[in-house]
Amino acid sequence: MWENYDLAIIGGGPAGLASAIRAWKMGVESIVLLEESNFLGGVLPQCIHPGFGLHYFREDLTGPEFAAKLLDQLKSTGVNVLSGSYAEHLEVKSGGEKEISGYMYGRAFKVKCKAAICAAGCRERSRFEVNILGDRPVGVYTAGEAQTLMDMYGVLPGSEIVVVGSGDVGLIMARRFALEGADVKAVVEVMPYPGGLTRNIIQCLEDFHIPLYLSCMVTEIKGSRRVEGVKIVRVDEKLNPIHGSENFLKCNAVILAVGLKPRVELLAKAGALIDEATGGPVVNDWLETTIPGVFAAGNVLVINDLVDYAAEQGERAAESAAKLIHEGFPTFKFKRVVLGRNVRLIVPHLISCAQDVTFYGRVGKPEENVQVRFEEISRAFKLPIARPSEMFRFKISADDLLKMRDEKIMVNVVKV
Amino acid sequence: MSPIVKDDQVLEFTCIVCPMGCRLRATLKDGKVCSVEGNRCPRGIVYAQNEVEPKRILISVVKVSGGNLPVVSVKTSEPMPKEMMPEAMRILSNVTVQAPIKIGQIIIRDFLGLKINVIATRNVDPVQPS
Repeated sequence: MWENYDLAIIGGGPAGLASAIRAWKMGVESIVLLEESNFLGGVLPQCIHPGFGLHYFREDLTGPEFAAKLLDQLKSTGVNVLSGSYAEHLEVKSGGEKEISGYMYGRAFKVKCKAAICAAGCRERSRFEVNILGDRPVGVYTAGEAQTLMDMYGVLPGSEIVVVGSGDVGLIMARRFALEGADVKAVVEVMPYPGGLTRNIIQCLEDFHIPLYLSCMVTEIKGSRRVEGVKIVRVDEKLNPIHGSENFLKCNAVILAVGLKPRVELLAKAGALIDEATGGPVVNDWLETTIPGVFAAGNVLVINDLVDYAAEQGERAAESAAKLIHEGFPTFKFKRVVLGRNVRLIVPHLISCAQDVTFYGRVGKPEENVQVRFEEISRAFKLPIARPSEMFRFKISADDLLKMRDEKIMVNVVKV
Repeated sequence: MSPIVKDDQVLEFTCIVCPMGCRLRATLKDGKVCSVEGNRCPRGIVYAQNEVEPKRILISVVKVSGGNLPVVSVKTSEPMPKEMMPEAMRILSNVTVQAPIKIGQIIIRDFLGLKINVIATRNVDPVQPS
C-alpha cells in the first residue's frame, strides 16, 4: 500500500514536531509524521526538570510542558501522525520522488513524498563504546534509561549510585537520585573538564555535595548478580590510565552518561554523506543533506545542548522543504565551511550565500576570552568562555555572506 | 550551600538562569546585594539577589492511582528555599493523586506554607478498563 504526501517527517521529537507545525503554517497541506514509539515528544516527556524553552517559547518549562505546547499547536494542523512507525529505508526515485518504507506495529508500510525531513534524534552510547569491561550484572543503565525508570515510572535504579560521564543528562540524573534519597557516590569524568553546562555543575552537583572526579575513568564493573562496585583509575593528559592509581568504589547501580550519537543509519544507507566531526549528515544552509530534497534537523543533524536549537532547526528544515515543494530549488553554487583553529565541529557545512545562516558549533578545548572568526567576511563574535560542552550559535546575514569572494569560509577560534 | 553573608563582602558564583553560565561578582552591603558584575543580562542581578538566600524550583514525581502511568511529574510554581528541599521531598513521597491529571493541575496548594503550589507538569490519563 502506497500513501502519497508532499512531505514526510521522520521522528516525532521536538525537531520533528516543530518542523511539522512550521511546514503546515507555510502552506504544505499533505504532511505525514512517522514516529516509532506510541507517543510524541521524543525524549521530552521524561525530562521533567525545568530549563527548556527559554529561547523558543520565552518561558522556563519542563520537558513534558515543552512537548505539550508543541502538541497543542500540532492539534490545529492537518498533519497525519503515524505512531508506531519505524522508518527503515529511504530511496530516491529517478523523478526525485522519495520512498520511505518500514514497519508499523509489525506490518510493512510505505509512503511516497516530494521532500523528507529526517529528525530521527540520537541514541546514547553504551558501556562497550567507552571500553568499560567486567561483569554484566543488574544495575547498569544509560542515563536516559534511568531517567525513564525514575521520572516516568517512579523507580529509583539503586541506593548507591556512580554516574559515569558528566554530560548534562548525567548531572541532572545525579541530582534526581540525590533528591530521591540515593547516595550518589561520584560523577566520574575522563576529561579534565566537565562535559555538561556550568549551570548543571552548580545546581546538580555542588548543591548536593556530589563529588566530581575529573581525569578519572571507570574501567570495570564488578558484580555477580547485582552491581557491587566499579574500578576507577586516574588518567594522564593523553587519557592513558596512570598505573597504581586504581581504586574500588562500592555501589549498586552504574549510570552511563557517556555521550550521544546521531541516528544516521537511515540517511547513511540512503547514501547521505556523514560528517565525522558531528556524526550527523553533511548539510547546506537549507539543512538539506547531500541527498537532494532530504533535510535534517535536531540531534540527528548535530547533538544540540538545547531543545530550543533542535526546534529551531526543525523550523528551518520545514521552511526549506516548503520552498522545494512550492517553487523548487534553484541551482546554488555552495561554498565550504572549513574548521580552523580550536573548532571541533560546525553546521551547516555548505553555504549558498542566498540567505541568512545560523551556525551551530563547538570548540575543541576550553579557552577564555576568545573570538569566533569567520575569516573571509571579517565577522567575529566574542566568546568570554568557550567550552566543548557549550554550543555556540551565531547568525550571519546574507548581506555579509555575499561579500565573500573565496570558495570557502574559514572559521577560527582565536584569543583576543 | 548558602554563602555566608557579611557586610562589604564580595561573593562569586555562577549564574544558572540560562546555559551561558555567567560568572557573577556580587558586592554586599547590610546583608543585601548592592552591585553585580559579570552578568550578561538583567536576570543575572535577580539571580545574585536570590542567591544570597538560595532558591530553586523543585521537581519530582508523585504517585498516581488509576493512571496509565504510576507517577506524575510535578514542579513548584515558584523557586523555593534550597534548605527546605529534603522536607519537601519527604512530603511529596507520601502523596498519592487520583487519575486523570491535567498538566498545570494543582497537586498541593500553599506548599509548606510558602504560598507556592506544587503543580503537575504532564497529563496522566485514567487506565483503560480492560
